[in-house]
Amino acid sequence: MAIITSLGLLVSTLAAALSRMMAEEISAWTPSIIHGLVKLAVARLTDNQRARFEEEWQSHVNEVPGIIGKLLAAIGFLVAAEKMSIAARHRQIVEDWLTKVKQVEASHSKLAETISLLRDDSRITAEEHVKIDPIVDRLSSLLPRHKEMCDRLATLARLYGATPAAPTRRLILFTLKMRVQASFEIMTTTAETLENKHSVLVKLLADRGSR
Amino acid sequence: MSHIEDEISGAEAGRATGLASGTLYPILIRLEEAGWVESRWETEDPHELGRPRRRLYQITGVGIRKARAAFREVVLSLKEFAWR
Repeated sequence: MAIITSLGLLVSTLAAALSRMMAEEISAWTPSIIHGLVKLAVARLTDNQRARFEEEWQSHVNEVPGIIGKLLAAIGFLVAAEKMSIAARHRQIVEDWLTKVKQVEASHSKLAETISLLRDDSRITAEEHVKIDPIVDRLSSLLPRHKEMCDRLATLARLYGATPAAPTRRLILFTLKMRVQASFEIMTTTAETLENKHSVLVKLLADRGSR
Repeated sequence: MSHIEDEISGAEAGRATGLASGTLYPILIRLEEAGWVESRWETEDPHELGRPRRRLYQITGVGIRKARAAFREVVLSLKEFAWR
């Protein structure tokens, strides 16, 4: 009986010592763990946010009392960083699209200018008109459709920008994004081609005029 | 709303609102981008303070108007609910 009591006492003393040691170990390791969690979190952020939030979040943790509170705050930063990086990606997509909208709208003006040049410029001979008039007519017929596509892409880009990336809308937005992306790629490539053709045409007519 | 114009740190905002850090900071950033809130670093020397410097947030004029409008909306909705 005495042996069992002594054994029990020994075990409880050892358990108390062990739990005290573990608490001290956790206490000693916590600053490094928290520092590591903050570093992991800020790695998800954009370049211009990283330095600010690393300092800000380390400071935030410093204000939180208790080890558990500090660890929970640091884990929360991982969640915050994920949400912030999704929002930043969303914003970047919208900015890129709005830049492309401007490019596409500029290409529409270029197309109208090119048509006008081909129709009305006196430096183009009657013989050349026979060949190019059918092409000009075809381009003219495409103008309203091109304008409609420019306007639709602009509206869709702004709609995507205005819609928060909430989970319930993500699938629709993903589909929208794929469709709009593809249209943008085609239209910006066409815009670049038109820009080149227009420059060649203007130069050709200018050379002709100067002879 | 009574100390609406005071500057507070993110940690203080978290304690006041009860929001966890994972929810709080995305909201603060969105408010800052919308111009409803502005932030700055503390100017005091961290060595003198004996702690890291904090980022302080303060509501702007636009933010105060929006906050008051939102508060009125909530109060009206509660009154409507109470009458039913």
